[in-house]
This record gives sequence, structure tokens and C-alpha cells, in this order.
Amino acid sequence: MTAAAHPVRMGLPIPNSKLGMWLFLGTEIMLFTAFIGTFIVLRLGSRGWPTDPHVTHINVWAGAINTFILLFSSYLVVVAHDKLLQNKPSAARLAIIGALVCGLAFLGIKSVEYRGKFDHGIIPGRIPENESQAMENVLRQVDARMERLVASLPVEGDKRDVRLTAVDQELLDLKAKSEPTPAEVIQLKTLESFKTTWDALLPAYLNLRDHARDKISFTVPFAELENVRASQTSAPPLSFSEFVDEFEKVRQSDALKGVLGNVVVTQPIVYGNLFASTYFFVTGFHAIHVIVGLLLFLIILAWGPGCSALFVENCGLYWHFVDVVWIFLFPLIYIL
Amino acid sequence: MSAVTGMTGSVDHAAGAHAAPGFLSRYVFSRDHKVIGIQFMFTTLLMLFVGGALALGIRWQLAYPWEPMPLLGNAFADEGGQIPPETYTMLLTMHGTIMVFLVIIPILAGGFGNLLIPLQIGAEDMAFPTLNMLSYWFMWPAIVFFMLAMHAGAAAGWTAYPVLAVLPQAAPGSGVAQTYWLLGVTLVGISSLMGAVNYMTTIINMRAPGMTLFRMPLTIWAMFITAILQAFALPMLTAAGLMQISDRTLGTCFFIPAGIIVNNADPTVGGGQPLLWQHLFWFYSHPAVYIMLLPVMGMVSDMLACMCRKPVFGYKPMIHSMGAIAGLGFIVWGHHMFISGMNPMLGMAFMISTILIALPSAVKTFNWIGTMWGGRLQFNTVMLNCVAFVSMFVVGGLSGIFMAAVPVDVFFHDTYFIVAHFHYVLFGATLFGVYGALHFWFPKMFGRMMSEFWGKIHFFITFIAFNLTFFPMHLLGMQGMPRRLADPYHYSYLEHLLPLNQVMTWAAIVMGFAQIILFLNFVISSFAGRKAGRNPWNANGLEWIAPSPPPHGNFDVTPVVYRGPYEYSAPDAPDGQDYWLQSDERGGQMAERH
Amino acid sequence: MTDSHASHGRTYLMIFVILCCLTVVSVIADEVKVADRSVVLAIVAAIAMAKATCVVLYFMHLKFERGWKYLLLGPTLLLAASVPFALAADLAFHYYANDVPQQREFERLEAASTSSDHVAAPH
Repeated sequence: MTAAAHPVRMGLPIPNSKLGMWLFLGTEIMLFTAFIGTFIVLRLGSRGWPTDPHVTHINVWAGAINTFILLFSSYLVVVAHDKLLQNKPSAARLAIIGALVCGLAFLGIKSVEYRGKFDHGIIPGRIPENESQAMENVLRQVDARMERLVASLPVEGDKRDVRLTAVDQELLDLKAKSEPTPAEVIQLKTLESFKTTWDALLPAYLNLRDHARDKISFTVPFAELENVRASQTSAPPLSFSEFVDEFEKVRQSDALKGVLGNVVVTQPIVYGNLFASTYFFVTGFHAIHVIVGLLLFLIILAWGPGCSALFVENCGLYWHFVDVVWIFLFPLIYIL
Repeated sequence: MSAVTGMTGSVDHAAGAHAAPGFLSRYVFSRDHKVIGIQFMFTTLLMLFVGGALALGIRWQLAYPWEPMPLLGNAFADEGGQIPPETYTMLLTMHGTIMVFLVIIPILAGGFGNLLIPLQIGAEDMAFPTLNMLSYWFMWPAIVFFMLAMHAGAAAGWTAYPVLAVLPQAAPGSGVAQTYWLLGVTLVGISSLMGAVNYMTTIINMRAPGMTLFRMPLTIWAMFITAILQAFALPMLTAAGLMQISDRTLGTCFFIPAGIIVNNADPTVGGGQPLLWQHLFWFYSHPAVYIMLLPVMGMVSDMLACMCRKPVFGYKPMIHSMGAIAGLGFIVWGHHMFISGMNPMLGMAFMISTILIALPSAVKTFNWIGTMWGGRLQFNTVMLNCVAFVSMFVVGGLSGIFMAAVPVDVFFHDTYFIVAHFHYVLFGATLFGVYGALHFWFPKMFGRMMSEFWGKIHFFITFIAFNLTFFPMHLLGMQGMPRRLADPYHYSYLEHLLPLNQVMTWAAIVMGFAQIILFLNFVISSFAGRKAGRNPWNANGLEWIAPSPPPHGNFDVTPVVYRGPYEYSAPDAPDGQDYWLQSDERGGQMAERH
Repeated sequence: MTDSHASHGRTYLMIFVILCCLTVVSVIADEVKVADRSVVLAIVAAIAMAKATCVVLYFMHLKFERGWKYLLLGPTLLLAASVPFALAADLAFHYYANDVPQQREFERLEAASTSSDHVAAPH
């Protein structure tokens, strides 16, 4: 009846983009529900979950500083929106730059934390969960070093055995030469120094490996292992700390310092892999969201002073959501 | 979006009134909801044939085990067309995957949702046209990944349960197939999420003046509720999919249990929970069942009312029961896991909530029957398909109650009884509804009618062949024939089922070829069909006041809505007509507020 | 219009200060070695809720929005909060015996630590 000249569309008194952003955030809530819910139930369902900061290398202060940084950046974003509404675009711009810097700082601290975990061997799928896995882990790294050492030699052949035989042969040949060329002198030196290292490394490796395999203490000498195993007599058992002590002795010896220097000795962590999986996954996806937020800030900055307050508000909504997720992640991961 | 219509003008849409966009931006990278909807429809119909071909492979093996398969056999296997067991597993995996993720979900939400939402609520376009375009184009990488998975031999079923799915050594030879599969699911999920946010925003905020919530057609209500389901359930699957991808590639162990030995190999790390995947997967995939059904329920309500020339019986109860189905849909996922080793206490809770869903479903069924009761029924193709929808839904719904009960499900789970159940719902109900909707809204898409004769031929062949294919599956299930078995006759207690399986297979082949009729009818009618006016069915909805096909921007002028969508055969309707357009000013009343 | 465009700067600053204080309290709750960890759990959970509420109400302007916020966020948050509980019933409290290598290793370690040295390190 009263068909007005300007009939009003139905709907909510908020712009489409803001409504769409809120609905999108609803889907994001469910995404993080899945991640955080997974974290909670896996943790509750795994008795013995690692919580000791000396084991997990989780630093509550790093988390607290990051919380502070994110809160501050959130504050800067609302300030930017407020300033835009008051028609002060340059102040708003400054606030957005501040938020951007905060986000970068957050990512910086996060990557330092990740780096620390990697240095301690906390990488999902690589963490030993009991002592024999921990010993295998060390032995695998030693073996890899040995493989690399042999592979770096200037001799022919692709298998380790073939190359080692070639080294022996070449040493004989070079020593037999009466007047070696300078290149041959260097070659001889290289091979001889390798031979010294190898003669120390191989027995040490075999000693470690066989003791670890038989789980027999190092008080039983290497030569006796065969007898002990054959006679099935009881021998003192091997503990991981004893294994580490023995390995450190090998590592510190003059001949092997350069070779085994960076082998990472990881203590066994019960449920360490599941812990690392959830830790990296949850914080990683949060970090991806932070990066997306930073891209949004860059868009605002690139847009310049004409940027609409609505766009800033929508980006802000997203950024505050990222902040809220971190507010829940901080106690879950860093404190409990 | 308003900028676009502002420039092109909402008054004059005559051809050539504005510079025609180039071919690419008009038909390929189009931001027009109608074009995107039709793109979705063509893509999904194409995928329907791929999925159907895979199904015929399964059927052939069950009817003539280890015999060379004609025609398709060349594509399936290297050795004389015989289907090897791994390929059989691939066939059933990819059949389910393609039908669910690339046919039914996208044709409903993507195809009909896109086409109908702006037209029926009187909007020029979606709220976010670019997002809409992206939602379509995210489907293509998903299709590519699914095809790669098919080629590589994904073999963990469409549910991709760990440990089978997550450890490459569990399915020898499948290699990276499951990783491709997971990437496909993740991408198709992102596509659906974009669509869902877009639909919700559009329906909430872009309705024409006077289009109050309770004047919206049931199609729109169904699309709205579907979008809510998608938006809030799908992120769980996306999260779970990402976790499984990282389990397969990055060394995490969310779903790899500790101490498991697979194929004599020890994955060395573990500690996760395989059941977690099942929970997260079904948390989405059960609501997905309603995502695959609710839009059809809404569209069938619209079509039935129009074809019976009667208002929908119980409009508000229809909406409430859809809401109830959606709400309950979030808390019933566990009924897929009764025999998965789930806590039996949860089994009880999920059984009760599942049986509760029968109530709103029954309300809807009785309302459809009530709508038809005493109406002036026109038995055209649309009506036939709608009646098929209702009746097949009843069959599928009733067999669902069997599965909801734990004591029965323990025996029926993983037999052909369950295959019969979900094919009655997904094919019998959903696909017949889709056929009806294709015929009903075809004039709006192309300005021409589909052939009524060929439509009926297609319907009757499909309907009879469908029942011959799927009804015997109930019997197979009760005889204990397990799903997903390449050669059930290996077991002597199933040997006598071979003749029945052969009948089913031939029915399935007939049904498969009958779809060619539909496809040809669809394509040929789109340029050679009888011309249709704006409102060929004398229907009430806003889409019928737009030109057929509607131009960019849809309406001549923004329509104003004065009444609900189902005022058929109203005694006081003007000019003695038996319909009353929603935008008809005569006898109308402006809404106070939304 | 003029009313809504008045500066909220002071409110925002106050909220920010409150948020920082709450963070400090939760760190202190962690650093003070309370024997019963469930007390810490209760404190930090309550603080996280309070902080999230502050951010959502003020920074995300939800305090100033109309009724739609309940329709959108009510069901979502209910769903989000109940999913972990539903999963926990199955996955956190194992119905069947959780006989996995990690459990056996953990029980071995526990037995070793209680039998060998009673004055174990606090961690």
C-alpha cells in the first residue's frame, strides 16, 4: 500500500562486509575449536604428557611477552579505528604501523622459540619416547656423520665398503711413490688424517651400537659382549645416562671432536611426538593467521589515507579474533 | 556489488544498454550469480557421469567377478579389462568421494543456491560476487586433486579412516594418493565455506523490501540453514584434513596410534588416536548429510505447492522442523561409530538423538502429503520427480531408523543394508528432487522449457531402474553381504546372491544410460527448447517476475514484497488467477519490519 | 552520529591496562609453585575467559551491537565449548584399557622414581 519511493531493504543494520566478517569469524571459531579441542583431548587422554619446562623447553616468559605484544597491537588497531572516525588519518596510520611492528615482533619471538625447540631435537616424528629409541637416535646421527665423512673423500666408488677399500689401496699406492707431486702429497695427507679419525670412530661406534643393542652396561668390555650374550649370563644393564656419558667421552676425544660436535642428544620424552605435533600445529596455525593479519595491515597502509573506517574495523575484528585465540592458547600451552 | 548495479542501472537492462563484458569475464570468470550457478551445475553434472561410471565398475565386479569389463574396462585396468582388488577399492572410494563432494553438495549449494538465492529474495546479486567466483574456481583444483587421487589409487574409502588412510604402507601401491585426496577435500571445503558465508550474508542482509523472514520461500530457508550447517561444521573437517595431511607428510602423529605394526613395518612414532579422526570427520560429514538433503526439501516444497496449486501445508512447521533437523544434526555424528570402539555410553546418547531426528523428518513428510492432499495435481515431470522424492525419502528415512538403534546397527553396519539406506536418501530423495528442480527452474536459466516428453521418459526409466538397483540391497544386507568387498562370493554363504546382484547390475546399467537422456535434454533444450515467458508455471516467487533468463542485475526494478510465497488458489486473488505473485501490489500489505 | 563518533580512547586504554594486569596475574599464578595444579588451572582459565570477554566486548565493539550478536555467537560458542567435552568422553577417558607403549614406559618411570629416590626433584 505504502510503496515508498525508497523502499528499505530488509536485514540487519550493519554493512554486508561486517556481517560477512563476523560469520567468517564464526567459522574460524569452529576451526580453532577443532585444533584446541584436539589438543585438550589428546593431552587428557595421554597419561604422562610432558609438562616439565626443562623437557619441553617451553618458556612461560616468552609466551607472556608475546601475549603482551598481541594485546598492545590489538589496542593500537582499535585506536587506529577510533582516530579514523575522528578524521585523523595520520594518527591512524601510525597506529597501524605500530600494530604491524608488534605482529612482526610476535612472529620473531615465536621463531626464536621454534628454533630453540629444533635445537633440542623437539621435532614431531623424531623424538625418542623411550631409552632404546633415544640411543638409536644418537646412533643414527653418528652413522649419518660416518656416511658423510666417507662420502666426502676424494676416491672412486659409491658404496661405503668400496670407498674404504679404495682409500686403503690409494694409501698404499701413494706411499709407494718415490717422487709424489704436490697434489699427491695433499691427497696422502687427507687420506691419512681420515684414516686416523676413522680408526678411532669405527670401534667407538661399534662399541656404542652393540652395547645399546644388547642393553649391557659398558662395564662389560666390547670383546666380552659376544660371550655374555652367548652364555646368557646376567650382566649389568645399560641406562641411557651411562650411554650418554660414554658417548660424550667419545665425542670429547681429540680425534673425533670435529666429527661428532653437533650430534644432538635428545632425552627420551614419553608422548613427546604427540606433544610436538599439537604444539607446532596449534601455534603454527595461529602464526599463519597472524601473517594473514599482517597482510591486511599492509593493504591498509598501501591504501593510504583514503582507507575506509569500515575496512579498518573489519581487519580489526579479524586481528582481535587472532588475539582472543592467543589468549586461550597462552594458558593452555605455556602454563598448564 | 551495489557499485556494479549502480553503474549498469537498475531500470534498463535491454541488450546493449551497457558495454557487454568480454567472453572471459562474462562466461568464465563471471561474478554474476546466475552464471556461477550454471557453471556449478554443468561441472557437477559432468562429475555425475564420472561418479556413475565408477559405480558401474563396482556393479560389474559384483555381478561378474573377475570377468573383463566391456568399454570401461580398458580405462580401469591393464590386464584385459579385469578389475584388480586394489582398483575395486579405488572405485568405491572415488565413487563415494566424487558423488558426495563434487556432485551433490556443489549442485545444491553451489548450483541451485547460487541461482535461486538472489532471485528469490529479490537481490541484484550475491553480497560478495568476487568471493562467489572464487568459490567456484576453488572447486577446480579440488577436482584436479581428486583425479590425481583416482589415478594414484586412493583406497581408504570416502571416509579415509586412519590407520588405513594415514600410513602409506597400509595400502601398498597407493603412495601419495591419500595426500591428494586430502588436499582435494580441503580445497572443496574452502570452496563451500566461501559459499556458505556469502549465502548467509546475502540472505540476512540483501532481502527485497517487504521480504520478511517468514515471507521467504522454503528454498531460501533451506539454503540458509544449509549454509549455517556448512559454515559451522565444515571447519572441523578442514582442521582434521590438515592434521591428516601433516601426519602423512610432516611427521606428526595425531591419528597414528602407538606401537602399531602395519605390513610388518613399524612407523616408529605414534601416540595419537585414530578415533579422533572419526569424530572430527563425522562432526562435519553427518551435518553434510543434511547439507545434501535440506536444499532439496526446500525446493520440493516450492515445486509441490506450485504443481498442486495449493499453499504449502504448515509453512512455519516446515521451517521449524528444518531448524530442528539442523540442530539435531550437530549432535548425532556418533551413530556412524557404533562399532568403531567408541565409548558405549556415548552410543546410547547418540542413539537417542538420532531417533529424535525422525520427528522433524516425519513432520516434513506429512506436510508434503498434506500439501498434495486435495490439490489440483499436475502430473508433469516436475511433479513426478517431487513425488518420487517424497516416497523415496520415506523408504530411506525408515531404513535409517533401523540403523539409529545400536542393537540393530551392530549387525547391519557395513552391510549392504546401509548402502541401500543412503542411496535411497542421497539418490532416491536428493537426486530426484534435483531432477525436478532442473526442469522447474530451467526456463529461468535459459529462457526455454525442457522437453516434457523426454523428461517423463527419463523419469520413468530412472525411477524403475533405481528401485530395481537399490531395493534388493536391503535383502543383500539382511543376508549379511558386507560392503566394500571385491568378491563376496568367495564366502559360500553369499554365493546364492550372485543372480540377484546380476539383476541389480543390469538395472544400474540401464539407469546409468538413462542419464544420457537427461543430459541431452538439458543441453538441447537450452538452445532449441520451447520459448518460456517470465512465469511459465504461474508461480508466486520473485524469480518469476524477472525476465527469463534474467539479465545482469536480475530485476527491472527492485521488487517490493507484499505477501508470502505460497498464495495459490486464493479466493480473493485479483483477476480470478490461481496464483498471487509475492510482488503483486493489489491487496498487499507492506511489512512493518523484518 | 556525534555520540558514536566520540573518542573511545580512554576506554580502550583502560581495557588494555586491565588485560596486561590479568596476563601478569596468570604468569604469577604459574610461577608461584602451588602444589595443587588444579588451582592454577582454575585461575588461568578464569583469567583467559575474562580477557577474551574484554577483547570481544570492547575491542570488537560487541557491547555496542544489537541482538544479532546473541544469535550468532550463542550457538557457536555453545557448540565450540561442548565439542571438547563430547570428544573427551571418548578420547580423554578411555573406555577400553589404553595399552600402548607410552603408558607402559610412563608406568615404568613412575615406579622407578618412587622406588629409587623419594626426594625426587620438584619437576
